[in-house]
Amino acid sequence: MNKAKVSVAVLLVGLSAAAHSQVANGPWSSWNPSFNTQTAGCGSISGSTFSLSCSTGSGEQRAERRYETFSSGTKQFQGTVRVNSLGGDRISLQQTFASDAWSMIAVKKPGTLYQVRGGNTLASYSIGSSVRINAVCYTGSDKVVNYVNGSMVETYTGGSGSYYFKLGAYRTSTGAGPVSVTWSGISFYQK
Amino acid sequence: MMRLCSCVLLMFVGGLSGCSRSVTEPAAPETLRLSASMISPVDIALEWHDPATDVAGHVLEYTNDPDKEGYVPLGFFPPNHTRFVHPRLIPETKFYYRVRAYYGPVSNSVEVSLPKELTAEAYAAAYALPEDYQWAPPATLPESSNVTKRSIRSTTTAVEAAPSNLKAELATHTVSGFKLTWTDRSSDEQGFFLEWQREGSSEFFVCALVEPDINSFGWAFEPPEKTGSFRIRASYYGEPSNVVTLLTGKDPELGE
Repeated sequence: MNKAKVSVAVLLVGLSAAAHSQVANGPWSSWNPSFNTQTAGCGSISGSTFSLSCSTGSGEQRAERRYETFSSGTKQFQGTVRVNSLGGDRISLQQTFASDAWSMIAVKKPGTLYQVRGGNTLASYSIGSSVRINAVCYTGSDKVVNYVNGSMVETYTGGSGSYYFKLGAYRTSTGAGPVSVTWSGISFYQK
Repeated sequence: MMRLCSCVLLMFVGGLSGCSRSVTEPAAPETLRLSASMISPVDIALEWHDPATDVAGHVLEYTNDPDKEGYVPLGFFPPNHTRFVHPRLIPETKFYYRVRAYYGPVSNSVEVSLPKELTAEAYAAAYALPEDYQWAPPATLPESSNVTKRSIRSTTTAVEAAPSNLKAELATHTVSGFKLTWTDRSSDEQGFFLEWQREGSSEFFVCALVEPDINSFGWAFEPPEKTGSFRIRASYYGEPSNVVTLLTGKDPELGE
């Protein structure tokens, strides 16, 4: 395909998107799950900012939103998170629950996002910058596919039963605050 | 919309003229331009061209819905890097991209090195354990003396407005953390970049961002990195380029 044809294709897609104006993301449609907030220990929530104010390395330290349970179809979570400051280590930012804490995306040190179970590094991350996380949960095949800044970073299998999403700040079993994170652009989709 | 229509017409004209033997190449754009193409149903290649010669680098950004959410950076690139592949994308989803130039003067550079006696095994083992980073959050420390702040956006004052006196002190209660401090001499930065030059490399890459007025924060090497040079840039951004939009297809490897 020569360069001129590729360029035309890009511009035509751009025009088409402008004509439809709103998101036309293929088969995805909006989903609006309800949520409740959960705080424990030194956790606090102010709007969309979730904080753990203490450096305690034990006990339940939590500031999160827990979204509505689902058990069928394919659901997608999308949100932008910024870790404003991290004075501790190993803080969970986003979770997809199955029968237990299944997929947990956390931040460690000043510069890494990782999967808590197994410890795999998912992406580099600079404290203070914004990063977008998408989690697509396929209930039919009991897997969740995690994306960081739009790119797939892992396919996590072994889920079962019902599922739900969480976001915020949560001390993992080996972690501690203090930490402050802000979430924005939180959206959900389904197909 | 009118500008896009004109561009489409120009592209069609370019395509028609390509049917003949002689092809007229379009004139180089006079402003920062971004283009994108699908290299697979879920991989997008991006390329940009900036005729300006005074930029410090470019930041490539994306969003899935500009009406609902902001752009997030995909990467910061030195001036001679003009391509990026955005890989393994969310299927059947629209991606919007733009690129912005960034500018600003830099501080002195400092070399940082972990102790030579730290073995690779000990480094990895220590890094795997939780550590105390309470000293690391970005902070504005009181200046030791009066500092006159100047604009980084004027060629007559940018040099004097550059961050100065950059120091890096190893945090000995961590395996690879170090505290950076500098003198903030700029009055109009949008933030500061920490830039890192790997041993043996000629280029500095942005590895961390902090807010305006910050003059202290902590950062850590990740194994196996043990050495490098750092500098701080007082930064500001230029206007964004054109926005390009592509819709991904099904992911052939996901099977969903």
